[in-house]
Amino acid sequence: MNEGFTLKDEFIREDGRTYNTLRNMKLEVGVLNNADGSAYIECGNNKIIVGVYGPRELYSKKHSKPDGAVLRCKYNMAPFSVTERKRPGPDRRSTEISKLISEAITPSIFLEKFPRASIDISIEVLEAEGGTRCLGIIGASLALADAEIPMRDLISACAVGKVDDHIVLDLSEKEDKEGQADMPVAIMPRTREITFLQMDGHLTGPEFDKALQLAFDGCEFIYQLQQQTLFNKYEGGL
Amino acid sequence: MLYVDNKEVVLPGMLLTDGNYKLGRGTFKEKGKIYSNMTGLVYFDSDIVSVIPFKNAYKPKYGDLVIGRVTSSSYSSWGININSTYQGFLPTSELYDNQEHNISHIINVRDMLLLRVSNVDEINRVKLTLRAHGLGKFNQGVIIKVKQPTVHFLSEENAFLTTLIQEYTQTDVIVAKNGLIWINGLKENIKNIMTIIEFIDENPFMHNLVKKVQSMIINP
Repeated sequence: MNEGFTLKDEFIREDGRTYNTLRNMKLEVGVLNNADGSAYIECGNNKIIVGVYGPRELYSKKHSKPDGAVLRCKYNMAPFSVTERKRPGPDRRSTEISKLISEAITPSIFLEKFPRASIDISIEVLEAEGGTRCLGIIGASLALADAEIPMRDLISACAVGKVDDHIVLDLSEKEDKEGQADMPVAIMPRTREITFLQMDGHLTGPEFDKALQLAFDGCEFIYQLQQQTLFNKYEGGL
Repeated sequence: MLYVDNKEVVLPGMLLTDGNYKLGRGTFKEKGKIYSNMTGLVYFDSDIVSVIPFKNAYKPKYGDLVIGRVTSSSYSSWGININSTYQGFLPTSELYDNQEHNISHIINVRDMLLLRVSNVDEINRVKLTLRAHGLGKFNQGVIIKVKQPTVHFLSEENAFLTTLIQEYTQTDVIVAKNGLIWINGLKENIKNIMTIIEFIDENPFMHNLVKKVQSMIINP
């Protein structure tokens, strides 16, 4: 009945979102008692829990650095996180994501303040539905802030992509698989520096610029959410 | 110009001021502006700006009084856990007794020691010393662990509280900088002090905390 009334030029995605809407997101910090810092994220059907240990002294002389801390990151997916049971243990994909998350986080931390030490981040994906690497970065950054590790800025991340010839924000798993392009971006919102960018698929020059701008907008929104989450933790206690 | 109020909660990367302040703890400077580098409360003093974290681990400094637990012993030194990022070490040359051949009679693994930091070098190796008045091994008493703001509260801001506790309950209390507190006395007094300290540890930034603690000490 409303056919004639809908905006013809507005592209509505499969799950009812417009091009620049994020999935519902819930962030929490300080959820674990034994870790020095922790964060929990729900976004769409994603559920991710992040714990941070450290900085603590690294005993292996082989791996420690005399001029700064070593950031070690472990991304792991639970066997029940996907529809088909995932074989537990590290695989090619999780090793890659571990490496790129630690590289995305590194520029924000004052590693040089902790010579011979290590900071360990472990990211556990309890349920996955596309975009876990970005959420992993967001969670790791929140957990580091919760652990009170000196940082230049929080890191915020989100994915953009191209679905049915439209540039869209925050792809779900289905859009990721069937879409034409997928580009996760992580930034330091204060200085607007990009700390991590990957791209699958094809985008033309103008499309890329548009996608990047959209990613910045999305990241800035998530940045505000992150700040709010950290403020909320301390509001009651003071 | 200040961008946040005094004693406000700040997050990493938040702009604090572009005025002419000195950098205190938990801050860094970029392009002439001062930012916070961790979560905590910001304090503006006359010319210095610092961010005091809520629970941050102890960072050793020269001259600090610390309580440590011996975790390892080697040919020339003991490794000591001082409740910090880094382990401390106590060289065997710190002992007065040169005659004793089996030094494990004097200090052994799992002993609790009261020590002073004698040096922290540029790669954060913490050298400890026993050679000062009153330092040594604990033989009795209770040791509890608290967060850094509590230590700040009990030893710097309101050091008289520790004396007050000691006088009112006739116990011995030593507040070490690394977040460990040693208490010795009668059993019920120790229990009393522990509830007071736990109360401080839970609300270290509470309004009028000094008065509340004072009344807790006087009327337990």
